[in-house]
Amino acid sequence: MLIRLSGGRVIDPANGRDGIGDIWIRDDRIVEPAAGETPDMVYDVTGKIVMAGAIDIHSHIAGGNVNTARLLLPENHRAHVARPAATPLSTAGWSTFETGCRYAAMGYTTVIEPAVPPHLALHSHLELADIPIIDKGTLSVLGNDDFLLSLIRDGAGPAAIADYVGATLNASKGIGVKCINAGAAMAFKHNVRSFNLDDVVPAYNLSSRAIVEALQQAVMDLGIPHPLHLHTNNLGIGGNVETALATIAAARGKPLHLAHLQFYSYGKEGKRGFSSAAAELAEAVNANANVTVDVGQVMFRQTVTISMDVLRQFNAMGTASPKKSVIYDGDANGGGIVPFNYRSNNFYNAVQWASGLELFLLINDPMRVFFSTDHPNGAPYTTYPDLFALIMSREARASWLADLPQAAVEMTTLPSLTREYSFYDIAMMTRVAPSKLLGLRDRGHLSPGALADVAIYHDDPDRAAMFRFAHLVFKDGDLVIRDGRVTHYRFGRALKVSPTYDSAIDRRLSTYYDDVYGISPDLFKVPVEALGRENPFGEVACGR
Amino acid sequence: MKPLVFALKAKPAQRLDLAALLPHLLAGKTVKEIAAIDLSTTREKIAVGDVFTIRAGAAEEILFDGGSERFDGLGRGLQSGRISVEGDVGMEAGRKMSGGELVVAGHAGPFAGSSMSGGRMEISGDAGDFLAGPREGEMLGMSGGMLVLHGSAGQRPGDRLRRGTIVIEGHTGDCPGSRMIAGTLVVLGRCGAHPGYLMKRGTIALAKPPALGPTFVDSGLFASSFPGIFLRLLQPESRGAGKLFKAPLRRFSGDMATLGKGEIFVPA
Amino acid sequence: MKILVDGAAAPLEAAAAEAARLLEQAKLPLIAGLAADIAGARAAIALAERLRGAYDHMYSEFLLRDLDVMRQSGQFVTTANEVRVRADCVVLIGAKLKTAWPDMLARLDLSNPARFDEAHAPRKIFWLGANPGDAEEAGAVKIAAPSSELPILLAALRASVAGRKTRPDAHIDGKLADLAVQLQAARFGVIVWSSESVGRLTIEMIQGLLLDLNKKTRFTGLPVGAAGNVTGVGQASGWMTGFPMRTGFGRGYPEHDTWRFEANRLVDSGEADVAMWISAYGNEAPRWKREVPYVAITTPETQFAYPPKVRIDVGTPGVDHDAVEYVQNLMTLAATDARSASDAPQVASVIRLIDEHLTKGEGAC
Repeated sequence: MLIRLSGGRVIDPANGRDGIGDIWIRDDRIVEPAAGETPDMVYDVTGKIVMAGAIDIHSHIAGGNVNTARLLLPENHRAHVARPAATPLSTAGWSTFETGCRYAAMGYTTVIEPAVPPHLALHSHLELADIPIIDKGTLSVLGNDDFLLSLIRDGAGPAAIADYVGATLNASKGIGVKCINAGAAMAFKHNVRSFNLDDVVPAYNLSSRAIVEALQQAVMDLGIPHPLHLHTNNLGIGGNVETALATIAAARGKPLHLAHLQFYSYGKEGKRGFSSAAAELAEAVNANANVTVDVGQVMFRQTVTISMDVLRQFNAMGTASPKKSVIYDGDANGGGIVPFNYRSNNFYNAVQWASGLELFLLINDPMRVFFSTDHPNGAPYTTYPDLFALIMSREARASWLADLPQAAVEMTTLPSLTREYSFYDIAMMTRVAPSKLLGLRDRGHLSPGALADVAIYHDDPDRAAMFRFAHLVFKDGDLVIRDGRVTHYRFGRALKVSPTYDSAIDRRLSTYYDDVYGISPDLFKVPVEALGRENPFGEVACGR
Repeated sequence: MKPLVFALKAKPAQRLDLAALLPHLLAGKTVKEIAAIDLSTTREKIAVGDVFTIRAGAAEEILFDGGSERFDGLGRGLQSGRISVEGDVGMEAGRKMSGGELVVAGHAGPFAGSSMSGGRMEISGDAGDFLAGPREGEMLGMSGGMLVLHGSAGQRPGDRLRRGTIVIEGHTGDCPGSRMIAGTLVVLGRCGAHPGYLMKRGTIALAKPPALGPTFVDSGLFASSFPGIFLRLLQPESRGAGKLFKAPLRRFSGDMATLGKGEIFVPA
Repeated sequence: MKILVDGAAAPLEAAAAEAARLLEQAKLPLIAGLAADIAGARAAIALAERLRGAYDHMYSEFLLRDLDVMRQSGQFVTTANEVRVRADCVVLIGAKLKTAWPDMLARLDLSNPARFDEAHAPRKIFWLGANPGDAEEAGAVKIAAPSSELPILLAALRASVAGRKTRPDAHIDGKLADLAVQLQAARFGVIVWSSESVGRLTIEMIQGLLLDLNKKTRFTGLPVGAAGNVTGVGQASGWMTGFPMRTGFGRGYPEHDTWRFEANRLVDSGEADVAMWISAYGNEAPRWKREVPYVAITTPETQFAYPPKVRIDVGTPGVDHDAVEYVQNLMTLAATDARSASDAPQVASVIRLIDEHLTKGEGAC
């Protein structure tokens, strides 16, 4: 099948391209213009915007905690679309099927679920297997597990730690490593109620900082493309910019990804002791080229926070709205589900909203700031179109700002920021940068040989409308979205890495599991044939 | 003015969702428009005209001539006007109603008056489980209005009641007034086990109480009489309820397992 | 392995075609039983959607007891592993724990101190409402109580922990005198219950007790799931539709209603006119009273009160074939290998075959 996308404005920053031109697709790949050949299909996309499919690096779309949130809030996601589904189960208010459809409709073709406990990897992959259309991937969470903490405490050395991380990634079939409030979930089991970077986990005499450093090193040693993905301490607390700055310093120039930075951009100014410190934080990010961040933007509406930072979620129970939470002490991290309603007339929520936008606008390099709402923690991913509009338009921001409490606006620099993202910037941030950060060389760009993941948008001055419903979306060269609606299902792959490691650690783990838990670690395996889809996985190369 | 009448032709072949048949939604609609309103809950389409003979009238007062256990959501979301049913209704009658009046001559299914916030509902027959209570995942039950049940209720009437008054002249199943947050529940008939279980605040009055658990603390005889305004409201709704409150009462405070600021009154 | 249409042996294809015909001409088809592995549940739920029918599980009631409490008030929960390695104080509740979870005592290793309990002291174990002999076997302090007494016993315990007064009751007070003190002294305590022994309000009382205890110390809960992979099916239902079982697709989108879509009510009321009964874990027959025509996908030993229109026998997940199921020992979905592999058909493959014979719509799985 040869397809020509004709006459669109092609925005492909990886190739420095922004201009009118054609894109050719043969089967599942982008190809050079096929001179002399007649395409099987020609789509006239004159006047449209053509980009590679977007990649989301941080969105909680699948797994035990996400499913608990679904089951916790049946009253909040009743379907209202009273029509039979054109595609099965896509009319559900919150299902894996609906997730794939809605992401694809926005032109997203790859989404990473950033929090998979290794012991619950099979569940996460089963859910991913029921997300149609898009490719996906998972980050395996370490940093509150006894085995790792014991290795570090006992001075096992970087090689042993890397072996353990490598074995865990292989078993859980992740694309990278996430660390969530290192040591805090373990400390919470010892009844510790607050935990900072240099606080020590009881019984291990080990600081959060030491755990982060060990994991950061292991990820580098294993040659995993994606740097350690870190959810640091003190999320959501006034004055926590100090923690974020300390964490950036703790990276010591080595690659580190800081997740949902907005939730750490708070100072202690003002009579409420809560202000935006985003400007200061953005400066630190700008000055440290080893650090990448995603924003975790807050948008005003009812949502639910889903986090494996069980300590933080426990402390947030009092803010739950509606007033019901789940607190889960898991084998390692566990997690918490706390429903939350961000309101524009709430001082704190307004500061949060503004500080996220400040980060977008004050971090200079769109290759190092990633587009996220930490779905659904800051807002559901369905608010992305509105967020694109906000970062692309000073005017749009001004009209939102006018509705916020003045006292909150005064705690931020947002009104003074004039920057507007261009389509080129957007494509850098949501296509090129994620492909680089995750090591996905086959996507994020429109070079010949790339996967034919292509999103084509109307050049609608209403940017939110434009990004909500793409005109056409191709996944692997297959037209899956036409005018914002799914044409048919296909099932993508979960992208994973398979770093090499010394298999002696497998025997050691077997002994450990038998000794501690009385079971075999094989019980937590993710057999390919259990997922019920053909070719459910795709491989991402590691390299040292 | 004549009421708008829906006369039942025959027992419907499926459960119906009748929530669209409210005075404020039907005002100004022609009989033909009303006849076309979809009531179906299965893949078989069924419209008002398939089930009912419609007799034109002012939508401010709606009369169902004939009812069915399959009439779900009747009066759900009622804001104003009056609906009366000469027959039975299914689940969720008067759910989330905020005003107006709903009168059911027959029996009601479960979740009658579920999370209603205002208006008046009266059921002559029996009601199913969770009278006035919340549905799956919802946090609040009834939050206002008056609900009078002349027959008996199932399990857990008044669950998570927050405001308003429920009078049950018949019996109830177990755990009436479970998880009450405030409001008033009166039961004149026999009452199942564990009334007021997990109640935080609010008032339950039981004419024929079962043994109360140890988390209801005896606070002695209740000397002062109830506010006249409350009794004046209750008396015309239920003479039995009025009578109960005029007799000497003993007061128990609970549920001490939780906040403990609720009270159960029983005849002294 | 039997394949029967109207009681007569039939080829699998013909049985699947007849099943499809029956289901497709129904006004409100019901998928019930639903005791299957994850692959079977996914196929069944997708089929229910395609048919615009409803689905329920034979043990939904037990799952929904825990779930209703979670979604109306919240939940503290942990894993079997954490109880094993960390719990210094364990409160077992009810008489059904051992039947619901035969491995419990071995899995939780209660007779040994918790490995990660820094004090490394023998665990403090209590069993409220145990069967005769159970508490002794568990090395637990026995607090005798008939199941009907558990609601007030737990209420009194919670009041005592919170320091609120109760009406003196020598019978109750004597049982709880030491327990409230011990709970508050725990470092990482756990309450274990099975919803087969306790109802919604009692579970909510347990959760309220956990909330109160966590104000000062750490305490969490371990719910024991019921049979028929009901917890696993509930998870698959959650991600496929957003809701647990008792969900219907009559209007073209999933609606969850624990009353309206309860299987026995749907059949007995005459609303469901054709049913599919899925039971891959043993001899479990429908409990509805009206004789609705039905398709049975069941284990060979299953005995029915009246014969199904179509019967297709299947193997047992984890025995005849590899399967993914909820594993109580791990508190998550896990892949289990066939214990004695056979070529018996699987629920998922049978449903897929039926699905292929449908003429309308498209299936998700």
